[in-house]
Amino acid sequence: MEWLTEPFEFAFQQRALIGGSLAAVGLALVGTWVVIRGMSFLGDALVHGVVPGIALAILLDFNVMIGAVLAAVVMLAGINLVHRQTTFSEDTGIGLLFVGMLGVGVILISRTPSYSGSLTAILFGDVLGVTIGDIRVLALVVVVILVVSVLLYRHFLVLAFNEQKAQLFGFRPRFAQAALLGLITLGIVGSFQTVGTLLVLGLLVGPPATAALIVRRVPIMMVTAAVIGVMSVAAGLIISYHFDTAGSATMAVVPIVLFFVVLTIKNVAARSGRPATAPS
Amino acid sequence: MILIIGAMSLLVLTACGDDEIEANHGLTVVATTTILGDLVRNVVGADATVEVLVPIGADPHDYQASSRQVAQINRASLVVANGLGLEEALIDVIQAAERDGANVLEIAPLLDPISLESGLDPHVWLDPGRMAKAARLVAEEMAKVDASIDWSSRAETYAIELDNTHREIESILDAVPEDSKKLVANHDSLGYFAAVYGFEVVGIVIPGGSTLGAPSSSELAKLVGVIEEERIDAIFAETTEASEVAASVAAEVGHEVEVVDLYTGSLGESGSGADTLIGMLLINAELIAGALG
Repeated sequence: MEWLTEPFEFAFQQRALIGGSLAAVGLALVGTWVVIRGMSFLGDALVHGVVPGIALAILLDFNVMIGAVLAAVVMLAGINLVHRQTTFSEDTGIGLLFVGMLGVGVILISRTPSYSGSLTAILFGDVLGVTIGDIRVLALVVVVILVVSVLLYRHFLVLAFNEQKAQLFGFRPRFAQAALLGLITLGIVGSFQTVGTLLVLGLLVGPPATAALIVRRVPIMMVTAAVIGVMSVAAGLIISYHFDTAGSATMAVVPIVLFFVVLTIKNVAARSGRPATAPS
Repeated sequence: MILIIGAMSLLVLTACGDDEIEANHGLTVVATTTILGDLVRNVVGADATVEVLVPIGADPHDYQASSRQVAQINRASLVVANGLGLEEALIDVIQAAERDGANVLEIAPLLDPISLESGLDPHVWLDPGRMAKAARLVAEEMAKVDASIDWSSRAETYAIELDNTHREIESILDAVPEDSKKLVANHDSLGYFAAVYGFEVVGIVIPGGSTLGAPSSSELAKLVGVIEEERIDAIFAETTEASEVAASVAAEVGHEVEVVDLYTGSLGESGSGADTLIGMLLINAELIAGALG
Protein backbone atom coordinates (compact mmCIF):
# COMPACT_ATOMS: atom_id res chain seq x y z
CA MET A 1 0.00 0.00 0.00
CA GLU A 2 2.81 2.37 0.90
CA TRP A 3 4.26 1.60 -2.52
CA LEU A 4 1.13 3.21 -4.00
CA THR A 5 0.87 6.19 -1.66
CA GLU A 6 4.54 7.13 -1.23
CA PRO A 7 4.80 8.89 -4.64
CA PHE A 8 1.94 11.21 -3.71
CA GLU A 9 3.61 12.61 -0.60
CA PHE A 10 5.11 15.27 -2.85
CA ALA A 11 3.18 18.41 -3.75
CA PHE A 12 4.30 18.18 -7.40
CA GLN A 13 2.91 14.63 -7.65
CA GLN A 14 -0.41 15.73 -6.16
CA ARG A 15 -0.63 18.60 -8.65
CA ALA A 16 0.34 16.25 -11.48
CA LEU A 17 -2.40 13.85 -10.36
CA ILE A 18 -5.03 16.62 -10.23
CA GLY A 19 -3.92 18.26 -13.49
CA GLY A 20 -3.57 14.93 -15.28
CA SER A 21 -6.94 13.72 -13.99
CA LEU A 22 -8.72 16.89 -15.13
CA ALA A 23 -7.17 16.50 -18.57
CA ALA A 24 -8.17 12.83 -18.56
CA VAL A 25 -11.81 13.68 -17.79
CA GLY A 26 -12.05 16.45 -20.40
CA LEU A 27 -10.32 14.35 -23.05
CA ALA A 28 -12.45 11.28 -22.20
CA LEU A 29 -15.61 13.29 -22.92
CA VAL A 30 -14.45 14.55 -26.32
CA GLY A 31 -12.36 11.44 -27.04
CA THR A 32 -15.43 9.20 -26.85
CA TRP A 33 -16.90 11.05 -29.85
CA VAL A 34 -13.49 10.97 -31.55
CA VAL A 35 -13.43 7.17 -31.27
CA ILE A 36 -17.10 6.62 -32.15
CA ARG A 37 -16.92 8.88 -35.20
CA GLY A 38 -13.51 7.57 -36.33
CA MET A 39 -11.76 10.94 -35.94
CA SER A 40 -8.56 9.77 -34.23
CA PHE A 41 -6.38 10.85 -37.11
CA LEU A 42 -7.96 14.31 -36.98
CA GLY A 43 -7.22 14.39 -33.24
CA ASP A 44 -3.56 13.48 -33.81
CA ALA A 45 -3.32 16.03 -36.57
CA LEU A 46 -4.85 18.76 -34.42
CA VAL A 47 -2.40 18.16 -31.59
CA HIS A 48 0.51 18.67 -33.99
CA GLY A 49 -1.25 21.25 -36.13
CA VAL A 50 -1.34 23.81 -33.33
CA VAL A 51 2.49 23.97 -33.28
CA PRO A 52 2.83 26.89 -35.75
CA GLY A 53 0.23 28.87 -33.80
CA ILE A 54 2.22 28.44 -30.62
CA ALA A 55 5.51 29.30 -32.32
CA LEU A 56 3.91 32.41 -33.83
CA ALA A 57 2.47 33.42 -30.47
CA ILE A 58 5.94 33.24 -28.93
CA LEU A 59 7.60 35.07 -31.84
CA LEU A 60 5.03 37.89 -31.80
CA ASP A 61 4.50 37.75 -28.05
CA PHE A 62 0.78 37.04 -27.66
CA ASN A 63 -1.13 34.42 -25.66
CA VAL A 64 -0.17 30.89 -26.79
CA MET A 65 -3.68 29.59 -26.21
CA ILE A 66 -4.97 32.12 -28.79
CA GLY A 67 -2.18 31.10 -31.17
CA ALA A 68 -3.12 27.45 -30.79
CA VAL A 69 -6.82 28.14 -31.39
CA LEU A 70 -5.98 30.22 -34.49
CA ALA A 71 -3.85 27.41 -35.90
CA ALA A 72 -6.61 24.87 -35.19
CA VAL A 73 -9.17 27.04 -36.97
CA VAL A 74 -6.89 27.42 -40.02
CA MET A 75 -6.31 23.69 -40.02
CA LEU A 76 -9.99 22.74 -39.74
CA ALA A 77 -10.92 25.27 -42.45
CA GLY A 78 -8.24 23.76 -44.73
CA ILE A 79 -9.46 20.21 -44.13
CA ASN A 80 -13.03 21.31 -44.76
CA LEU A 81 -11.99 23.03 -48.01
CA VAL A 82 -10.27 19.89 -49.32
CA HIS A 83 -13.25 17.78 -48.29
CA ARG A 84 -15.78 20.02 -50.08
CA GLN A 85 -13.91 20.88 -53.24
CA THR A 86 -12.37 17.51 -54.07
CA THR A 87 -13.54 13.92 -54.21
CA PHE A 88 -10.76 12.80 -51.86
CA SER A 89 -11.73 11.14 -48.61
CA GLU A 90 -11.35 13.26 -45.50
CA ASP A 91 -8.06 11.72 -44.39
CA THR A 92 -6.27 13.14 -47.44
CA GLY A 93 -7.15 16.66 -46.34
CA ILE A 94 -6.10 15.87 -42.77
CA GLY A 95 -2.81 14.41 -44.01
CA LEU A 96 -2.10 17.49 -46.14
CA LEU A 97 -2.83 19.92 -43.33
CA PHE A 98 -1.07 17.80 -40.67
CA VAL A 99 2.24 17.86 -42.53
CA GLY A 100 1.74 21.44 -43.75
CA MET A 101 1.07 22.86 -40.32
CA LEU A 102 3.82 20.86 -38.61
CA GLY A 103 6.26 21.94 -41.33
CA VAL A 104 5.36 25.60 -40.87
CA GLY A 105 5.76 25.03 -37.14
CA VAL A 106 9.32 23.73 -37.52
CA ILE A 107 10.16 26.63 -39.87
CA LEU A 108 8.97 29.07 -37.22
CA ILE A 109 10.77 27.21 -34.43
CA SER A 110 14.01 27.48 -36.40
CA ARG A 111 13.47 31.24 -36.54
CA THR A 112 12.70 31.55 -32.84
CA PRO A 113 15.45 32.79 -30.54
CA SER A 114 14.99 29.74 -28.42
CA TYR A 115 17.38 30.24 -25.54
CA SER A 116 14.28 31.47 -23.77
CA GLY A 117 13.40 27.79 -23.88
CA SER A 118 9.73 28.66 -23.62
CA LEU A 119 8.65 27.04 -26.89
CA THR A 120 9.95 23.61 -26.02
CA ALA A 121 8.59 23.88 -22.50
CA ILE A 122 5.14 24.61 -23.91
CA LEU A 123 5.21 22.00 -26.67
CA PHE A 124 6.43 19.27 -24.40
CA GLY A 125 4.72 20.76 -21.35
CA ASP A 126 5.50 18.47 -18.49
CA VAL A 127 2.72 17.27 -16.21
CA LEU A 128 5.32 17.03 -13.41
CA GLY A 129 5.67 20.82 -13.60
CA VAL A 130 1.95 21.71 -13.43
CA THR A 131 1.11 24.83 -11.43
CA ILE A 132 -2.01 25.73 -9.46
CA GLY A 133 -2.78 28.35 -12.16
CA ASP A 134 -2.62 25.64 -14.85
CA ILE A 135 -5.04 23.52 -12.81
CA ARG A 136 -7.53 26.41 -12.57
CA VAL A 137 -7.49 26.92 -16.36
CA LEU A 138 -7.86 23.21 -16.94
CA ALA A 139 -10.77 22.96 -14.48
CA LEU A 140 -12.55 25.73 -16.37
CA VAL A 141 -11.95 23.93 -19.67
CA VAL A 142 -13.35 20.68 -18.27
CA VAL A 143 -16.46 22.45 -16.93
CA VAL A 144 -17.11 24.02 -20.36
CA ILE A 145 -16.64 20.66 -22.09
CA LEU A 146 -18.97 18.98 -19.61
CA VAL A 147 -21.72 21.60 -20.01
CA VAL A 148 -21.54 21.63 -23.83
CA SER A 149 -21.41 17.83 -23.94
CA VAL A 150 -24.62 17.58 -21.90
CA LEU A 151 -26.44 20.39 -23.75
CA LEU A 152 -25.60 19.07 -27.22
CA TYR A 153 -25.59 15.38 -26.34
CA ARG A 154 -28.53 14.46 -28.58
CA HIS A 155 -27.10 16.48 -31.48
CA PHE A 156 -23.79 14.65 -31.23
CA LEU A 157 -25.52 11.29 -30.86
CA VAL A 158 -27.61 11.75 -34.00
CA LEU A 159 -24.54 13.04 -35.84
CA ALA A 160 -22.56 9.97 -34.81
CA PHE A 161 -25.09 7.30 -35.61
CA ASN A 162 -27.41 8.71 -38.22
CA GLU A 163 -25.90 11.72 -39.93
CA GLN A 164 -28.09 11.39 -43.06
CA LYS A 165 -31.33 11.44 -41.15
CA ALA A 166 -30.24 14.13 -38.73
CA GLN A 167 -31.79 16.86 -40.83
CA LEU A 168 -35.13 15.05 -41.04
CA PHE A 169 -35.27 14.82 -37.28
CA GLY A 170 -34.89 18.60 -37.09
CA PHE A 171 -31.22 18.59 -36.08
CA ARG A 172 -28.65 20.70 -37.84
CA PRO A 173 -25.74 18.35 -38.58
CA ARG A 174 -23.41 21.13 -39.75
CA PHE A 175 -23.94 23.02 -36.53
CA ALA A 176 -23.41 19.83 -34.51
CA GLN A 177 -20.28 19.00 -36.51
CA ALA A 178 -18.83 22.49 -35.96
CA ALA A 179 -19.67 22.36 -32.26
CA LEU A 180 -18.04 18.95 -31.91
CA LEU A 181 -14.87 20.09 -33.70
CA GLY A 182 -14.81 23.16 -31.46
CA LEU A 183 -15.13 20.99 -28.40
CA ILE A 184 -12.34 18.64 -29.51
CA THR A 185 -10.13 21.66 -30.20
CA LEU A 186 -10.92 23.08 -26.77
CA GLY A 187 -10.07 19.75 -25.13
CA ILE A 188 -6.72 19.54 -26.92
CA VAL A 189 -5.70 23.20 -26.69
CA GLY A 190 -6.89 23.49 -23.10
CA SER A 191 -4.81 20.59 -21.87
CA PHE A 192 -1.68 20.25 -24.02
CA GLN A 193 0.09 23.21 -22.44
CA THR A 194 -0.36 21.65 -19.03
CA VAL A 195 0.24 17.98 -19.69
CA GLY A 196 2.21 18.00 -22.97
CA THR A 197 1.27 16.93 -26.49
CA LEU A 198 2.18 13.31 -25.97
CA LEU A 199 -0.11 12.83 -22.97
CA VAL A 200 -2.97 14.61 -24.76
CA LEU A 201 -2.69 12.09 -27.60
CA GLY A 202 -2.54 9.20 -25.15
CA LEU A 203 -5.58 10.35 -23.18
CA LEU A 204 -7.69 11.44 -26.17
CA VAL A 205 -7.86 8.06 -27.87
CA GLY A 206 -6.57 5.42 -25.42
CA PRO A 207 -9.18 5.48 -22.62
CA PRO A 208 -12.26 5.98 -24.88
CA ALA A 209 -11.11 3.17 -27.19
CA THR A 210 -10.61 0.89 -24.19
CA ALA A 211 -14.04 1.89 -22.83
CA ALA A 212 -15.63 1.17 -26.21
CA LEU A 213 -14.35 -2.40 -25.95
CA ILE A 214 -16.28 -3.06 -22.76
CA VAL A 215 -19.41 -0.87 -22.76
CA ARG A 216 -21.88 0.21 -25.44
CA ARG A 217 -23.94 3.19 -24.28
CA VAL A 218 -22.27 6.52 -24.94
CA PRO A 219 -22.69 8.15 -21.49
CA ILE A 220 -21.39 5.00 -19.78
CA MET A 221 -18.53 4.91 -22.28
CA MET A 222 -17.63 8.49 -21.32
CA VAL A 223 -17.67 7.72 -17.61
CA THR A 224 -15.66 4.52 -18.11
CA ALA A 225 -13.15 6.37 -20.30
CA ALA A 226 -12.81 9.09 -17.67
CA VAL A 227 -12.21 6.49 -14.95
CA ILE A 228 -9.65 4.67 -17.12
CA GLY A 229 -7.94 7.99 -17.94
CA VAL A 230 -7.68 9.04 -14.30
CA MET A 231 -6.40 5.60 -13.30
CA SER A 232 -3.85 5.72 -16.11
CA VAL A 233 -2.57 9.07 -14.86
CA ALA A 234 -2.27 7.75 -11.30
CA ALA A 235 -0.64 4.49 -12.46
CA GLY A 236 1.74 6.41 -14.74
CA LEU A 237 2.83 8.65 -11.85
CA ILE A 238 3.45 5.65 -9.60
CA ILE A 239 5.41 3.80 -12.31
CA SER A 240 7.44 6.90 -13.18
CA TYR A 241 8.28 7.33 -9.50
CA HIS A 242 9.32 3.76 -8.77
CA PHE A 243 10.91 2.83 -12.08
CA ASP A 244 12.44 6.20 -12.93
CA THR A 245 10.80 6.61 -16.35
CA ALA A 246 10.01 9.91 -18.10
CA GLY A 247 6.79 11.14 -16.42
CA SER A 248 4.38 12.40 -19.09
CA ALA A 249 5.46 9.68 -21.53
CA THR A 250 4.78 6.91 -19.01
CA MET A 251 1.30 8.26 -18.35
CA ALA A 252 0.66 8.35 -22.10
CA VAL A 253 1.73 4.73 -22.56
CA VAL A 254 -0.38 3.27 -19.73
CA PRO A 255 -3.82 3.64 -21.42
CA ILE A 256 -2.42 2.20 -24.67
CA VAL A 257 -1.07 -0.87 -22.87
CA LEU A 258 -4.37 -1.14 -21.02
CA PHE A 259 -6.23 -1.15 -24.36
CA PHE A 260 -4.32 -4.20 -25.55
CA VAL A 261 -4.70 -5.96 -22.21
CA VAL A 262 -8.47 -5.45 -22.28
CA LEU A 263 -8.60 -6.53 -25.91
CA THR A 264 -6.70 -9.74 -25.13
CA ILE A 265 -8.85 -10.54 -22.09
CA LYS A 266 -11.97 -9.93 -24.16
CA ASN A 267 -10.77 -12.26 -26.91
CA VAL A 268 -9.78 -14.99 -24.51
CA ALA A 269 -13.11 -14.68 -22.68
CA ALA A 270 -15.03 -14.79 -25.95
CA ARG A 271 -13.17 -17.88 -27.07
CA SER A 272 -13.59 -19.79 -23.82
CA GLY A 273 -17.24 -18.68 -23.64
CA ARG A 274 -18.03 -20.13 -27.07
CA PRO A 275 -16.02 -23.33 -27.27
CA ALA A 276 -18.49 -24.94 -29.67
CA THR A 277 -18.06 -22.51 -32.56
CA ALA A 278 -15.71 -24.83 -34.43
CA PRO A 279 -17.49 -26.64 -37.26
CA SER A 280 -18.27 -30.23 -36.33
CA MET B 1 9.89 15.59 -34.91
CA ILE B 2 7.66 15.87 -31.88
CA LEU B 3 6.83 12.20 -32.08
CA ILE B 4 10.48 11.31 -32.30
CA ILE B 5 11.33 13.41 -29.30
CA GLY B 6 8.40 11.97 -27.43
CA ALA B 7 9.55 8.48 -28.18
CA MET B 8 13.09 9.37 -27.19
CA SER B 9 12.12 10.75 -23.82
CA LEU B 10 10.15 7.58 -23.31
CA LEU B 11 13.26 5.51 -23.84
CA VAL B 12 15.35 7.61 -21.51
CA LEU B 13 15.62 5.53 -18.39
CA THR B 14 18.32 6.60 -16.04
CA ALA B 15 20.44 3.92 -14.54
CA CYS B 16 21.31 5.58 -11.26
CA GLY B 17 20.89 3.56 -8.10
CA ASP B 18 17.43 3.74 -6.57
CA ASP B 19 18.39 3.55 -2.96
CA GLU B 20 21.33 5.92 -2.88
CA ILE B 21 19.33 8.75 -1.38
CA GLU B 22 17.64 6.64 1.23
CA ALA B 23 20.99 5.13 2.24
CA ASN B 24 22.72 8.49 2.66
CA HIS B 25 21.49 10.39 5.68
CA GLY B 26 23.65 13.38 4.87
CA LEU B 27 23.21 16.09 2.29
CA THR B 28 22.21 15.59 -1.32
CA VAL B 29 22.87 17.84 -4.28
CA VAL B 30 21.05 17.36 -7.59
CA ALA B 31 22.82 18.59 -10.73
CA THR B 32 21.00 18.75 -14.06
CA THR B 33 23.92 17.86 -16.38
CA THR B 34 26.82 15.43 -16.07
CA ILE B 35 29.17 18.41 -16.37
CA LEU B 36 27.65 20.26 -13.43
CA GLY B 37 27.53 16.94 -11.57
CA ASP B 38 31.31 16.60 -11.87
CA LEU B 39 31.85 20.18 -10.75
CA VAL B 40 29.59 19.70 -7.72
CA ARG B 41 31.32 16.41 -6.80
CA ASN B 42 34.63 18.24 -6.76
CA VAL B 43 33.21 20.81 -4.33
CA VAL B 44 31.26 18.54 -1.98
CA GLY B 45 33.59 15.52 -1.98
CA ALA B 46 32.22 12.79 0.29
CA ASP B 47 30.17 15.24 2.38
CA ALA B 48 27.13 15.04 0.12
CA THR B 49 25.57 12.64 -2.37
CA VAL B 50 25.42 14.00 -5.90
CA GLU B 51 22.59 12.99 -8.23
CA VAL B 52 22.68 13.86 -11.93
CA LEU B 53 19.43 14.16 -13.92
CA VAL B 54 20.46 14.06 -17.60
CA PRO B 55 22.43 10.85 -18.31
CA ILE B 56 25.79 10.69 -20.12
CA GLY B 57 25.47 11.26 -23.86
CA ALA B 58 21.92 12.68 -23.68
CA ASP B 59 21.13 16.17 -24.92
CA PRO B 60 20.21 18.50 -22.03
CA HIS B 61 18.09 20.58 -24.44
CA ASP B 62 15.31 17.99 -24.66
CA TYR B 63 15.66 15.65 -21.67
CA GLN B 64 12.47 14.98 -19.68
CA ALA B 65 12.61 13.96 -16.05
CA SER B 66 10.95 11.03 -14.32
CA SER B 67 8.75 11.57 -11.33
CA ARG B 68 11.43 9.95 -9.14
CA GLN B 69 13.91 12.57 -10.30
CA VAL B 70 11.48 15.40 -9.58
CA ALA B 71 11.13 13.92 -6.09
CA GLN B 72 14.94 14.07 -5.80
CA ILE B 73 14.83 17.73 -6.84
CA ASN B 74 12.27 18.44 -4.14
CA ARG B 75 14.22 16.59 -1.44
CA ALA B 76 17.71 17.84 -2.31
CA SER B 77 19.66 20.24 -0.09
CA LEU B 78 20.63 22.08 -3.27
CA VAL B 79 19.73 21.82 -6.96
CA VAL B 80 22.40 23.08 -9.36
CA ALA B 81 21.00 23.89 -12.80
CA ASN B 82 22.73 25.53 -15.73
CA GLY B 83 19.83 27.84 -16.60
CA LEU B 84 19.56 30.34 -19.49
CA GLY B 85 17.17 27.90 -21.14
CA LEU B 86 19.63 25.01 -21.53
CA GLU B 87 17.42 22.44 -19.82
CA GLU B 88 14.45 23.33 -22.02
CA ALA B 89 12.26 20.35 -21.17
CA LEU B 90 13.10 20.55 -17.43
CA ILE B 91 12.23 24.23 -16.95
CA ASP B 92 8.61 23.62 -15.89
CA VAL B 93 9.60 20.98 -13.40
CA ILE B 94 12.46 22.96 -11.85
CA GLN B 95 10.39 26.14 -11.59
CA ALA B 96 7.54 24.23 -9.94
CA ALA B 97 10.01 22.67 -7.47
CA GLU B 98 11.40 26.11 -6.69
CA ARG B 99 7.90 27.37 -5.90
CA ASP B 100 7.47 24.35 -3.62
CA GLY B 101 10.53 25.51 -1.70
CA ALA B 102 13.39 23.63 -3.42
CA ASN B 103 16.77 25.36 -3.17
CA VAL B 104 17.73 25.99 -6.81
CA LEU B 105 20.99 27.59 -7.96
CA GLU B 106 20.95 28.54 -11.65
CA ILE B 107 24.63 28.95 -12.32
CA ALA B 108 25.02 30.31 -15.88
CA PRO B 109 23.26 33.68 -15.30
CA LEU B 110 25.78 34.41 -12.49
CA LEU B 111 28.83 33.83 -14.70
CA ASP B 112 28.79 36.96 -16.85
CA PRO B 113 27.09 35.24 -19.82
CA ILE B 114 27.88 36.23 -23.40
CA SER B 115 25.11 37.84 -25.45
CA LEU B 116 24.17 36.19 -28.74
CA GLU B 117 21.61 37.37 -31.30
CA SER B 118 19.19 34.85 -29.86
CA GLY B 119 19.73 35.76 -26.20
CA LEU B 120 22.29 34.85 -23.55
CA ASP B 121 24.49 31.86 -24.38
CA PRO B 122 23.99 29.03 -21.85
CA HIS B 123 27.11 26.99 -22.79
CA VAL B 124 29.28 28.49 -20.02
CA TRP B 125 31.04 25.26 -19.06
CA LEU B 126 33.49 25.39 -21.98
CA ASP B 127 35.32 28.23 -20.16
CA PRO B 128 37.37 26.86 -17.23
CA GLY B 129 37.60 30.34 -15.70
CA ARG B 130 33.83 30.66 -15.45
CA MET B 131 33.60 27.12 -14.06
CA ALA B 132 36.12 28.03 -11.34
CA LYS B 133 33.77 30.82 -10.34
CA ALA B 134 30.87 28.35 -10.51
CA ALA B 135 32.68 26.04 -8.06
CA ARG B 136 33.04 28.94 -5.61
CA LEU B 137 29.34 29.80 -6.00
CA VAL B 138 28.34 26.19 -5.25
CA ALA B 139 30.57 26.28 -2.15
CA GLU B 140 28.88 29.49 -0.99
CA GLU B 141 25.43 27.93 -1.41
CA MET B 142 26.49 24.78 0.40
CA ALA B 143 27.81 26.90 3.27
CA LYS B 144 24.30 28.29 3.67
CA VAL B 145 22.97 24.73 3.85
CA ASP B 146 25.56 23.44 6.32
CA ALA B 147 28.15 25.87 7.65
CA SER B 148 29.95 23.19 9.70
CA ILE B 149 31.70 21.75 6.65
CA ASP B 150 34.58 23.53 4.90
CA TRP B 151 33.28 23.67 1.33
CA SER B 152 35.33 26.63 0.19
CA SER B 153 38.81 25.12 0.49
CA ARG B 154 37.82 22.23 -1.76
CA ALA B 155 36.27 24.70 -4.19
CA GLU B 156 39.53 26.71 -4.16
CA THR B 157 41.58 23.57 -4.86
CA TYR B 158 39.31 22.74 -7.77
CA ALA B 159 39.41 26.33 -9.03
CA ILE B 160 43.22 26.13 -9.10
CA GLU B 161 43.01 22.85 -11.06
CA LEU B 162 40.69 24.55 -13.53
CA ASP B 163 43.10 27.46 -13.79
CA ASN B 164 45.94 25.04 -14.59
CA THR B 165 43.65 23.37 -17.14
CA HIS B 166 43.09 26.76 -18.74
CA ARG B 167 46.84 27.26 -19.18
CA GLU B 168 47.23 23.72 -20.46
CA ILE B 169 44.50 24.35 -23.05
CA GLU B 170 46.29 27.54 -24.13
CA SER B 171 49.50 25.63 -24.74
CA ILE B 172 47.64 22.84 -26.61
CA LEU B 173 46.03 25.48 -28.83
CA ASP B 174 49.45 27.06 -29.58
CA ALA B 175 49.56 24.47 -32.37
CA VAL B 176 46.79 26.36 -34.19
CA PRO B 177 48.10 29.17 -36.41
CA GLU B 178 46.49 32.60 -35.78
CA ASP B 179 44.75 32.70 -39.18
CA SER B 180 43.23 29.22 -38.67
CA LYS B 181 41.43 30.21 -35.47
CA LYS B 182 38.02 30.01 -37.11
CA LEU B 183 35.30 27.64 -35.97
CA VAL B 184 32.28 26.13 -37.72
CA ALA B 185 30.07 24.40 -35.18
CA ASN B 186 27.04 22.10 -35.39
CA HIS B 187 25.01 24.26 -33.03
CA ASP B 188 25.92 27.50 -31.37
CA SER B 189 27.75 25.99 -28.39
CA LEU B 190 31.34 27.17 -28.77
CA GLY B 191 30.86 30.88 -27.99
CA TYR B 192 32.72 30.84 -24.66
CA PHE B 193 35.54 28.70 -25.96
CA ALA B 194 35.97 31.09 -28.89
CA ALA B 195 35.87 34.20 -26.71
CA VAL B 196 38.39 32.89 -24.18
CA TYR B 197 40.90 31.38 -26.62
CA GLY B 198 40.77 33.99 -29.37
CA PHE B 199 38.79 32.00 -31.93
CA GLU B 200 36.03 33.29 -34.16
CA VAL B 201 32.80 31.33 -34.77
CA VAL B 202 32.28 31.89 -38.51
CA GLY B 203 29.46 29.42 -39.15
CA ILE B 204 26.70 27.40 -37.45
CA VAL B 205 24.94 24.39 -39.02
CA ILE B 206 21.78 24.32 -36.85
CA PRO B 207 20.23 27.77 -36.36
CA GLY B 208 18.16 29.20 -33.54
CA GLY B 209 20.28 28.35 -30.50
CA SER B 210 18.41 25.21 -29.52
CA THR B 211 19.35 21.80 -30.93
CA LEU B 212 15.70 21.49 -32.03
CA GLY B 213 15.87 23.88 -34.99
CA ALA B 214 16.48 22.91 -38.61
CA PRO B 215 18.60 24.79 -41.15
CA SER B 216 17.34 26.21 -44.45
CA SER B 217 19.06 25.19 -47.67
CA SER B 218 20.16 28.79 -48.34
CA GLU B 219 21.77 28.89 -44.89
CA LEU B 220 23.61 25.67 -45.68
CA ALA B 221 24.68 26.97 -49.10
CA LYS B 222 25.99 30.14 -47.45
CA LEU B 223 27.79 28.01 -44.89
CA VAL B 224 29.46 25.95 -47.62
CA GLY B 225 30.57 29.25 -49.20
CA VAL B 226 32.02 30.51 -45.92
CA ILE B 227 33.92 27.26 -45.33
CA GLU B 228 35.40 27.34 -48.85
CA GLU B 229 36.28 31.03 -48.71
CA GLU B 230 37.94 30.81 -45.30
CA ARG B 231 39.60 27.47 -46.17
CA ILE B 232 38.25 25.89 -42.96
CA ASP B 233 39.37 22.30 -42.40
CA ALA B 234 36.87 21.05 -39.81
CA ILE B 235 33.26 21.25 -38.64
CA PHE B 236 32.84 20.66 -34.93
CA ALA B 237 29.81 18.49 -34.16
CA GLU B 238 28.87 17.07 -30.79
CA THR B 239 28.68 13.69 -29.11
CA THR B 240 25.06 14.27 -28.03
CA GLU B 241 23.74 15.02 -31.51
CA ALA B 242 23.50 13.27 -34.84
CA SER B 243 25.75 15.09 -37.32
CA GLU B 244 24.37 14.04 -40.72
CA VAL B 245 23.75 17.63 -41.78
CA ALA B 246 27.27 18.62 -40.76
CA ALA B 247 28.61 15.64 -42.72
CA SER B 248 26.69 16.59 -45.85
CA VAL B 249 27.92 20.19 -45.57
CA ALA B 250 31.46 18.81 -45.27
CA ALA B 251 30.92 16.63 -48.34
CA GLU B 252 29.64 19.63 -50.32
CA VAL B 253 32.77 21.70 -49.75
CA GLY B 254 35.43 21.60 -52.47
CA HIS B 255 38.34 20.79 -50.17
CA GLU B 256 38.71 18.07 -47.54
CA VAL B 257 36.68 18.90 -44.40
CA GLU B 258 36.70 16.75 -41.32
CA VAL B 259 33.65 16.43 -39.00
CA VAL B 260 34.99 16.25 -35.44
CA ASP B 261 32.73 15.24 -32.52
CA LEU B 262 33.44 17.41 -29.47
CA TYR B 263 32.12 16.81 -25.99
CA THR B 264 29.77 19.77 -25.58
CA GLY B 265 26.44 18.87 -23.97
CA SER B 266 27.54 15.95 -21.84
CA LEU B 267 30.66 14.32 -20.39
CA GLY B 268 31.93 11.17 -22.10
CA GLU B 269 31.55 7.58 -20.90
CA SER B 270 33.98 6.51 -18.18
CA GLY B 271 37.24 5.49 -19.81
CA SER B 272 36.81 7.99 -22.65
CA GLY B 273 39.07 10.45 -20.85
CA ALA B 274 36.25 12.99 -21.10
CA ASP B 275 34.47 11.61 -18.04
CA THR B 276 35.36 14.69 -15.98
CA LEU B 277 34.94 18.37 -16.81
CA ILE B 278 38.72 18.90 -16.86
CA GLY B 279 39.30 15.79 -19.01
CA MET B 280 36.56 16.89 -21.39
CA LEU B 281 37.99 20.41 -21.78
CA LEU B 282 41.48 19.02 -22.50
CA ILE B 283 40.21 16.44 -25.01
CA ASN B 284 38.16 19.10 -26.80
CA ALA B 285 41.24 21.35 -26.99
CA GLU B 286 43.33 18.50 -28.40
CA LEU B 287 40.62 17.63 -30.95
CA ILE B 288 40.40 21.26 -32.05
CA ALA B 289 44.19 21.65 -32.20
CA GLY B 290 44.46 18.38 -34.12
CA ALA B 291 41.87 19.44 -36.69
CA LEU B 292 42.99 23.03 -37.21
CA GLY B 293 46.70 22.83 -36.36
